[in-house]
Order: sequence, then structure tokens, then C-alpha cells
Amino acid sequence: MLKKRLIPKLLIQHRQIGSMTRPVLVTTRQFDQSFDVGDPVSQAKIYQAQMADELIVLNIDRTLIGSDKLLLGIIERLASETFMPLAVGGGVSSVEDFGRLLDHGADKVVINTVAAKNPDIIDAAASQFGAQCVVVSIDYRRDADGTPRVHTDRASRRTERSVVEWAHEAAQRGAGEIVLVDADRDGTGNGLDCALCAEVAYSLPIPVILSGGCGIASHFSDGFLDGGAEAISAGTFFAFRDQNPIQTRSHVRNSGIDIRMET
Amino acid sequence: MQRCSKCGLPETHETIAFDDQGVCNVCRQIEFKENRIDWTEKKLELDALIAEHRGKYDYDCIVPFSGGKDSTWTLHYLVKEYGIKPLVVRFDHGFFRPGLEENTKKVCRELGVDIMTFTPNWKVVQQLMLQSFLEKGDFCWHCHTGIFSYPMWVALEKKVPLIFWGEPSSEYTAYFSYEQEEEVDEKRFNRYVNLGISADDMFVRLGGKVDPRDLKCFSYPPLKDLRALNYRSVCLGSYIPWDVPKQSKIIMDELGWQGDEVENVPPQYQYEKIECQMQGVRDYIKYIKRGYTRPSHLVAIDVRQGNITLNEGQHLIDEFENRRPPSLDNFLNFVGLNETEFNRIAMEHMVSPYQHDPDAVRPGKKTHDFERWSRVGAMPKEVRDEMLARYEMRTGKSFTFADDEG
Amino acid sequence: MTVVGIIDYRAGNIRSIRNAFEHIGCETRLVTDAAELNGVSHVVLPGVGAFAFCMQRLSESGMLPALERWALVEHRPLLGICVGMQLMARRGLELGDHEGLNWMGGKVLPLVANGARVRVPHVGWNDVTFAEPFGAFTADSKADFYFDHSFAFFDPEFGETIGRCTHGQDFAAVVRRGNVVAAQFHPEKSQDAGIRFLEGFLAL
Repeated sequence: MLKKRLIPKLLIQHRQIGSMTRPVLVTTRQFDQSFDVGDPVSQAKIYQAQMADELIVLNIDRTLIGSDKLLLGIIERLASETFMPLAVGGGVSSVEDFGRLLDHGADKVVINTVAAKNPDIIDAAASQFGAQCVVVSIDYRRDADGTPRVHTDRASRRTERSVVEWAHEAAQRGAGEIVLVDADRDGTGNGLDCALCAEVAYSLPIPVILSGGCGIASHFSDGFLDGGAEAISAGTFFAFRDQNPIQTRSHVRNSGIDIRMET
Repeated sequence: MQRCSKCGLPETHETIAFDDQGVCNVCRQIEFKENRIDWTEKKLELDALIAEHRGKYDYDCIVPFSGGKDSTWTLHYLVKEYGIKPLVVRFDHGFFRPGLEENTKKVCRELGVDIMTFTPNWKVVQQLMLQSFLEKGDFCWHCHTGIFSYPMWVALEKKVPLIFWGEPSSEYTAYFSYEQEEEVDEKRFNRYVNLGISADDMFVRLGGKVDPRDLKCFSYPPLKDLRALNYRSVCLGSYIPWDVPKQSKIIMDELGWQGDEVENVPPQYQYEKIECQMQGVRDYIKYIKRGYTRPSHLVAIDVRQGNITLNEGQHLIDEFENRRPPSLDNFLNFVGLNETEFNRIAMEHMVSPYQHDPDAVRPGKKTHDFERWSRVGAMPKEVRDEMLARYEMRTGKSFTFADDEG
Repeated sequence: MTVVGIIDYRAGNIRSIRNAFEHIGCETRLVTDAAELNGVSHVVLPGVGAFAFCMQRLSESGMLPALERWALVEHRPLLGICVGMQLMARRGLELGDHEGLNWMGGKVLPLVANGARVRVPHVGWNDVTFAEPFGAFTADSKADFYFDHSFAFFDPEFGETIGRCTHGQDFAAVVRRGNVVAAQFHPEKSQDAGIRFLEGFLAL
């Protein structure tokens, strides 16, 4: 049987340290402030040893990833030092970028703002690289009346799109997976948005990855059981809790959910 | 909380998973160890491993050594059973107890072995303790990493490829199973030893405020260097069945190794974790986070071995858990926190579904040697303030309290 | 000497495959021309993208006759991965009806989604049950591997299904015909189980 997945989220920023610019792994709170967690390659190796199922790697500076030598270099190192699936994104601007990222070792490409502005990129990328390669990430915040609205540009720009409709459109155009990120829950540890996830997941045939708000281990079980998520992605939780994917895995298993175990 | 129907460990125990009968994976592993492993075969593998390395380098092997029951047994067994010449390597985490130093002297003199001790920079250690306590609810990062990485650097430096550790982790957790070959390598180090933080990550987390050279002893050596050495880093417990009570008795009888009382641990377990002045604090934090601690763990082992019933064990657990260790005062002084701050921070790391109630905590007893423990090296206020400010910024919460604020 | 030649026909994530074999301690080389097969002991045929796209790229590469000789005449070890496996079918029904290499016979058909229980693409870790021993995997053993696909291989005619997987339907996860082995999952992304699988291939 297909197992539910735990996916650490590696957010990457450029940092000036001494005379050198180096990519640093960070976590964020509500997409606003960011906090340094470590070295991306070191963290990826650790997550691999801890049996993470996959990694999502996102460039959260506003650079164009397809021409960012530093980031492409990091993707290459991640692919050479780990043997797990890598979904990479942040600053993708064209279908050609898919090819570039795959050449540097990505297995899937995550698109967000570029897809919201130009949805045709989903169709084009899916027909060239296959649906399984196209991951559409949707950041959202709620309006005052509670309606979830798609936001772009690192959740800084509100659009008129409804989250559910946009997820449906993305799936129809050929996206292989949807990532839902509640920007207001990001880094707070207050729990996942299971209700919205369920609304999206139960009306779509493709897998939905839920993210934003994991604070305790039971939030993961909630996301799988109540949210209908196929996978849950977390950054802050793994970085700043006395937790790791192996420990979380046993919590999830103990709630009766099928998940990969080593023992 | 859900508990293992056999050993009683709760669902907050790291890596625990229960099967259809409500029995945990650690119990199942121990059954596997006792029934399904051909220990005669394993012993032959050990013979071959030692024969392959004997007499070729300045030392036949390296034995990383804390002076506790497991590393003392490992050293004793290798020297007595095989007559080999080991280099004993000790990483000083800063909190060796007086009785442990006595034991170490006795053991090394009795067995006739070379020993070297490395002690890292205390000012750096203080920051590492506070940082890992803030971010992982576990102040022992410097000790976990140093113990497992420093001997590997010594192996490289002395060109001694064989390293012998004590018990495999599958004795106590399910990070690895007895079915797997558990090599003590970088994967294991990354899986659970380093709390998900490498030395390189720690440098970033400390905002680059330390000299990276001060972190080298906490980093794992490059795999390519270790491979070039043809290293083998193994647990003795993968080759001979581990039996703590029996082994403890032998080292007491034959080497004069002595047990000791440990804060908030039942007196019948005097062989357990005698090496660290901060053991009581470590166990106490575990209680705050997970609602059980060392007595539960010791009882679980005894119940699995059929020495006591779960019910008898429960009395010990009720008596000795949820007690404040007197060493907490020393710890707070070393990291610059008051007790209210300490509680708030530790409770940030509670593992669901456990909910800690600080008011239910009772005082614990001082050990006989408590007054001899060093209190030298308090945390400078400005270092604490800067580190706490970074933490408050990240969590968006305030953790600075007057000591009497609840 | 084990030298793994990875067929580079610009339709696959070659880097990861290369890294995985190098991690095991093999020499690897990218093969873009039949002449470069000289000195190679094991060949890997990767593939990512649509069936027809991969098929066309492979034909254009000019390496097909040499690969067919390698696999079907000389019976030397060759491993197909993901679409590299699917190409070995007689037909592929992705975006039209296309002819495959027909090394194994059989068809490549879309996986059928079924509400929240069976989602397509089939993404993630699923257990493969081995019908025959392969490397460290004994008959009847199970192991989790990483899958990422919307189409699957059914009913091989010339080869045997030595590993099965279920996602709504039963499909072939590993097929084998002599020294030609092909996997629907990504061994190079499947951590320890994947490494063991690749070691099984290298033992051929």
C-alpha cells in the first residue's frame, strides 16, 4: 500500500558571512521573519539518515533560480550526497527552468507565483516532463470573512483567486501534486489547516501535500486523518523541536496510519 | 498515554510503535536479540575482526570511554578475552563525578591501558548547552556529538582503524533494529546522536559567533578520510549479548568498579549513569517533555528480563519520577537561566499528548557527593541575553521572567 | 571491473543515478554514442517524461541497435528505470498509441484513479513484493521503494514479473528477462532499499 509521506521543507536564503556569500537554511514565521537553521547539505544528509521520505527545497530570496549559480550548485550537491527525491522551486520563471533544475539533480519542480501569473506553464511543463514532475504550490491567507485567498510572491500579494478553484484548475492543467501552505500558520506551531485541505484533497484525484503549522506530533496525524493529505511538509517543527522524522513516524504509525518504518 | 502492554513505556518514548497486541517495537527487538540471533556465529565474527587488526598499528583498537558500566565492560572484555592493546579515549563533557574519576583510575591501572582525555573549551560548551536546550529541549548536544565524533578524529590521527563502542542503540530505542548491522558511523550520528544539528549547522545557529575551529571536535570527520583509513566502528554488543546487571557485577568484582547513587534513581540501579553531575537535570527535562524518565526506562528493562512485574515497577516510578534534582541549581548557573525560564523553555518541547504540570513536581534528594561538584564557570549575562533575544525573536514569545513569576 | 554506462539520451535525471552507483563504489560513465559502450560492464537506461518523447529521443540518439544487441543478443546486464522500463513494452498508451521496444512485450497503460483512496500520479513509497529472489531480496520479501508515475507496465510476455506493486491495480514493479532488469520505481531515490537493489543488479 502507498505510504503517507513526511517531507522536511528546506527554505534557502543567501547570507553574507564574512567576505563570502553562502546559501543558508532558514525557517520562517508567517512568511515574514526568517531564522537560520544551518547548512542545506548538512541538514539534507541528516534528514536522509532520519528516513525523511522526500525533500522540498525552496529558494525564498527573489532571485531567478534558473540562473542562480549558487543555488544550482547547492541542488547539485544535494543530489550527489543524498538518495532521496528532491522537489525544487522558488524563482522558477519558465519551462526551460524545469530542464535546468532536472539537469542539476531535481526530480520535481515546484512552481507558485509563475503559475498563478501564467497558468499555461503547467500545461507546457506537464506535457514535456510529465505530470509527476510538476508540483504546484499554493500559498494562501484568509480574508477578514474567512475566505482563503491565493497569495503570490512569498504570500505578500493577494489575488482574487479562491484556493479550491485554483487547485482544481492546476490539476486540470496537468499538475501532479498540490502543496497547500497556510501563510498565517507558517512557523507558529498552532496546527495544520485540515478543513481546507480536506476540501481540496477529497475533490481532486492528485496528491495534496499540506504544510504550515505543525507544532506537535499529533498535528501530523490530524493532517493525514482529518485533512486527507498524502504528505505533510514541515520546516520549523523538525528544526526546533525535540523531534525528528523517525520519531514523528512512530507517532503517526501509532494513530493507525500506514507509513514507512525501518523497524 | 498509551503504554506498551509488556514493558510499560509510554507513547512519548522516542521511536516507539505498538503492534496489534499493544507490544512495543523495543520489546520485539529484545525478543529478536534473545531468540533469533546466533551469538556463537557472532562471536566468531568478532574473533575474525580482532585477528584482522591485531598488532598492525600503535594500538589494536580505540575504546571510547566514559567510565560508566558499558564502556568499562567493553574495555574489560576486550582486554581480558582478547589481550589486545587498546587506546582508551575519553571526551570530558565537563561533569565527571568524583567517584567516576576514582573508578577510571582503578580500571585503567588494573587493566594496564593507555588513556587520553580531551576537554573542550568551557565557554563554547556553555553556549552549546544553552543553544541546544533552547532549540531542542536537550542541553547535551556537546556531549552526544563530542563522545561520538572526537574518538573518530583520534582514530584518524593515530591511524587506528578499529573502534569499539558498547551497547547497540537497539537495546533501548528503535532507531535501528538488531537485524541490521549497526555501524557507529555518520548515518547513525545523523540519525539521532546529534539532535539533527551538525557542527556546521551549529555554527550557523550561533550566528557565526564562535570560532569554527572550536566546533571541530564536535563534527564528524569526512567520510572519505575514514574510508581511506578502512575504518570499522562497531558495537561490542552486536557481537556478544548485552546483559547489564551481569556485566556490572563482573566489573565490580574483578576491577573494583563501584556504582553510585544518581539523583532520583531507585537505589537498586546504582550501576546506571553514574558518570555525569548533570544526569539528574537531563532526566528531569525528559520528564517535563515526555512524562516519563529514567526509572520508567530501568523498570522496562527489568520487566522485559522478568526480574520484576510492571506493578512492582510502577511503585518505583511513582516514588522516583517527577522530582526536581538539586543539581538543577548548578545547571541554571552554568547556562544563565532562572527556574521559571527553564520551565517555560523545557515545556516548549513537550511531546504530545503529555502535558506537564510544574506544580506537581516534588523535591528530590541530593547525592552524597553533591557538595563536591564544581560550580565554577557561570554564564556571563551578556552572552545569555544575546542568545535568549535570538530565541525570543524566533518564537515570537517572551521567555525572560523574574524567578518568582509563575 | 564494474563500469556502469548510463545512457544519456536527454530524457532522464542522470545525475542521481550516477551518484548512486558511485556511492556503491562503481566507476560510471555517460554514454551518448554506441562506441562509448566499449569497456562498460553494466548499462542503465533511465527515462523521465512522456513515453513517446522518450522513445523518439532514444531513436534519434542512434544507440538503439547497439542496445538491442547488448540486451537481446549478447544478454549483458541492463537496467531500465521508470520510463526506461516502460519503453521495453510492446505498446505505450500515453498521449496516443505508440510502439515500444518490445523487449518484454506487454503494455503501458494509465493508472486509474479512484477517489481519495487511489490517487494518480502514484507518488511516494510503496511496498514491492518480490516473486523471485533478486540480490539481497529473497522471494516473498517486501521492501518500500519510491515511485513517481501515472502510467504502469502490465502483462509482460517475454519477461517475468519478479516484483509486484499495488496501487488500485496490481502492476509490474520489476520485470526481468535474463540479464535485462527493469524497475518502475526509482532505486536511485529509494535510500537503503534502493542501494541494495542496485547492488543486486551489479551482481548480474
